[in-house]
Amino acid sequence: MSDQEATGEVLGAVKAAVPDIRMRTPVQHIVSAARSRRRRRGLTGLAVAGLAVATGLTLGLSSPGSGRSVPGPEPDGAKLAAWTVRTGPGGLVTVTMRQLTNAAALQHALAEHGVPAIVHAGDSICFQRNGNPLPGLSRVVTHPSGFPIVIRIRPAAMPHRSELLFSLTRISGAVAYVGQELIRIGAPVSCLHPPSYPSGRNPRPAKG
Amino acid sequence: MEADSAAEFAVFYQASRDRCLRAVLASVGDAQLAEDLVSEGFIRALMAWRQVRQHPAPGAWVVRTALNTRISWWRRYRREVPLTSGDAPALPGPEPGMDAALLAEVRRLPLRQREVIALRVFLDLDTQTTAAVLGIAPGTVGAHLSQAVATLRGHLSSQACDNEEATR
Repeated sequence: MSDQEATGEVLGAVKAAVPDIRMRTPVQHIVSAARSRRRRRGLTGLAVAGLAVATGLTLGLSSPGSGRSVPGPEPDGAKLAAWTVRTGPGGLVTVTMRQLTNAAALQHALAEHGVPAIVHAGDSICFQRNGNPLPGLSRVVTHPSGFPIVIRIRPAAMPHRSELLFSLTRISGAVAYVGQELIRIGAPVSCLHPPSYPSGRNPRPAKG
Repeated sequence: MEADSAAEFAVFYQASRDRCLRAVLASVGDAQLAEDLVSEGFIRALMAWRQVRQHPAPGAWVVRTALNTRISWWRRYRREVPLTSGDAPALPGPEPGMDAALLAEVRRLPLRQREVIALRVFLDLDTQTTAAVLGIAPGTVGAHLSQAVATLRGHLSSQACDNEEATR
């Protein structure tokens, strides 16, 4: 067997080793995420905002998140397929997270349960930009180990005019890390984003 | 202009997403993680679309970005609450139809060799384009490919021997 044939055989085996799987992420999700980041960065240039409509027209796909089950509030709390928020005895709010989806809805649910919070989901982590966060986080939030992720919050222990800042991410589709801070409402927040992209004809792939 | 760019990106996404996913899956071995990384690659591609659209192989840009993202994804995180051992969510098993043993060998290859494999095998790039994408000489692409093939061939040979012994 020649070297070329041997190489072809090995590369063929590698190709055959990967199943014929398909991306499930709709293009609207990509567009929405890019638009959101671009807005946060305050960049100008390519108006990603217009892309959502245009890509929807091009591919004829449904809106982001369509088809995802989002049932209404249950008698004792709000519930989504991926997470639940419940208020228990003593006003203790318990968030149980299995998957990281619909962070905006989680933020809204927390507000309904008396927990002012910013919920950031994605590949970056957010923190108060200037100065130190407020003390007393451990009195407000407890986070026992285990999976699914459980976060217990005592809204009554939160200082006046404060809010919680959660940064959530995921590994293998499941929530695996939680970054949290107690900050003053309205305090400037920064998120660690990927680096800016080089200009030029052949841009380098972005590094983390 | 915007509509043209949108249509162009959408067509690019539709045409290349599955190949990019398979290329990254071969390197990471976890379908959900691969999907997350490739999504991230496409998000960044869209954010830099005016440059990426002129790239000789935009799909390769996405794959390299996804693989780079995997390396450094967690370095940026601060104040994370690590899971204790045994708490980590169970990783899903290999996808049906996946040769987990061979892909484990692929994952053990150095990054550059894995990149060459991904670009040559899953994106069907030729040596010249692969070299241009990676910013290395065509001869270096050949050297990486030879080393990768030699390593993987050793695995395939031993696997064949094992199978032969098992059937005796």
